[in-house]
Amino acid sequence: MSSYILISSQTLGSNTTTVTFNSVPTTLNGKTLRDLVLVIDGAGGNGDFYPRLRFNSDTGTNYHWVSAQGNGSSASTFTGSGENGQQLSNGVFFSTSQRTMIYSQVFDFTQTNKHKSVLSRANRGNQGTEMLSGRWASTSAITSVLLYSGNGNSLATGTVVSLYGIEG
Amino acid sequence: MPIPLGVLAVAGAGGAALPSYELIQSVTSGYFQNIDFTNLQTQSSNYRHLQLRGVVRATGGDGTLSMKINEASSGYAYHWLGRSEYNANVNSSGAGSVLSINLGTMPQTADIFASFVIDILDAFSTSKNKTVRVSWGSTTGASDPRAIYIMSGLYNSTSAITSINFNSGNNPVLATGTRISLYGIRG
Repeated sequence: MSSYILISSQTLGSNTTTVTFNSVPTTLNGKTLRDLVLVIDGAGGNGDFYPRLRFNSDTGTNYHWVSAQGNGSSASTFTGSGENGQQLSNGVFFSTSQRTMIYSQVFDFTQTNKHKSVLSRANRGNQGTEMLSGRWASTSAITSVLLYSGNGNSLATGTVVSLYGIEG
Repeated sequence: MPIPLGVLAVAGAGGAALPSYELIQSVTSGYFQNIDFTNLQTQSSNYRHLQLRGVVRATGGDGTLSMKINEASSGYAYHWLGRSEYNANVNSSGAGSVLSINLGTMPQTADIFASFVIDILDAFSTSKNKTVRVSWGSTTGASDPRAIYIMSGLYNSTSAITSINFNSGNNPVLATGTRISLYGIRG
């Protein structure tokens, strides 16, 4: 059995503003999970969708990030601190006109002796590519993951959101 | 159409095929300066590529996480791209006696760890120099160092990989909670 295991995958049947994975398992197929991988492949529904996560429904100002992006003509870096959701990308987001793919990894999600680290990559053909490092300043084990947009917009019908666990 | 021999060998052997991505070993540090993965030649018939995933924190001083392959003290080169804790735009390179996995220092603040993923392609080939790619992220406080970058590394040897060693530098050690896991990928 592989150490890289699908936990759940959702294909959106309509424009959707939030996607939630509740009761994230700590073991699956006899494997103890260490890291999470979230893959989002789709487009914005009613406008641009700026992907953010909330862990355990935490709306406190506990999320921090730094990112670097390139768009073909210039390279830029950005930072954010004390925000109420975990950015997965800053300048590369889901538009209604072209698909975007984001691959995000959350490390040691069950460990209670460390903040939770995030590594994320965002890719969109006509806009650019971005890498982001994030941190949820909490030692709580992650039990739920909420995906939403910073501006309240939706993801489009057909967008696929998948959550994987990695044994470690 | 003839059936490829490899497919026959897997399907007809009566045993389950090995997973395409599998945990080989996971090491957590309790105040160590080194984390070592050894006897990797025993994995050469099972896997083609290796991946290392981890979170690291230093204690006792500034530390840079470095990596050696086969205990070699020469033959490494690397390029970084991204943002370091000291420079908003990094496009730099280096070479030397180790692969410097991070540019700058590891976090030292309690509970805060840097995270990374390292891929080593064709790790057991004896006809190719070894290519290493790294994604590194470190997000500390608002006024503290934050870094995100990718690194491409070279181990200029065609030897099959038999060991991988991580070191935290001269004075600091890897803090409790540091974890590095090694995975094998079939190919």
